[in-house]
Amino acid sequence: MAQYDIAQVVRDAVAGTLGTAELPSDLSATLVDDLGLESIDLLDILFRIECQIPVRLPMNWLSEVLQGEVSDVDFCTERGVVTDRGLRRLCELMPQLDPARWSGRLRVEHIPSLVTVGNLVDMVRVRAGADEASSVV
Amino acid sequence: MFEREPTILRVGAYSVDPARFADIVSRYPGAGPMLGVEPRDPENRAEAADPADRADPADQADAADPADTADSAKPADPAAEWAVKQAVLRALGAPIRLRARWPEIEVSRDPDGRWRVTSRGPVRQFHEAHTLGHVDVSVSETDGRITAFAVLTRDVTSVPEPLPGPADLPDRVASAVVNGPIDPTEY
Repeated sequence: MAQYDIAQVVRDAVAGTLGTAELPSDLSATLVDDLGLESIDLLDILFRIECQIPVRLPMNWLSEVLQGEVSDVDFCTERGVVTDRGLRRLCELMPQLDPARWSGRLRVEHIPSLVTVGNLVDMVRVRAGADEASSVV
Repeated sequence: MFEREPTILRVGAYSVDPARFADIVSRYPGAGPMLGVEPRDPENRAEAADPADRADPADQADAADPADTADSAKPADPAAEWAVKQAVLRALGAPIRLRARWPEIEVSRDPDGRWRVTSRGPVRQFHEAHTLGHVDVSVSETDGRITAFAVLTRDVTSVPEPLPGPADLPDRVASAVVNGPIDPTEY
């Protein structure tokens, strides 16, 4: 997988979904709030990446990797608000999140809107590495 | 005597551009199964509503509420169907790990237009374990966008406060209730 520039592949995919030739240069741009994409567009981005590099990116992979090993009751309240434990997990993948700002205020459905281009690059990179390792085995 | 009143626990809403949805589903063969919808040519909607195309009854055995799987169910528009799934997952307050398990939610419409939703697998398990309740769905189409609303309700029975029993009373009173009349001069 080292032969692929995953950051470039992700930026190409985002640009393709946006329908623009101009690649997003700011990796801190959020897919939803900054670039105006919707949930269905995220699926388009993942498919575009899959077409470019040998990696499998099902949507449930993305949602599961965001929650990690944190149990449901530890991740969010019954009202769908992310707990501090859940927020710590998200900060591992999305270090730009400010725990002080989001503690007790982040709803689960709002999580995808906080994912940046850079976060997606990092997650795809990890996934690609895992896929490569499993194919070698 | 007592009225049963549905209490609204949570509302989930989701809006999608059906043209954008159809474009993605048509371009990627894996998109339909991943989203839990069957892509259809708009010209073939009448054909798709044929009873032969309905969900396999064997699959419906896994439904959360068997009463919600009427024989008369017919497929819904794929974009609307997916919007309903998204709205339902939001109404259930499903954790993020379950938010992309769209195939585990089955959506259909009755001939009278009523939406029916059933679930299976981990989504159903979550529903039963954490948010037991009924989900009502409505869908609107405005300005080229389809918006689904899912309302999670639970029936509560309005009953008056129960009269205190022995366990609710102070020891001496409880003892009196059990053993005989209370002597008012003791209090």
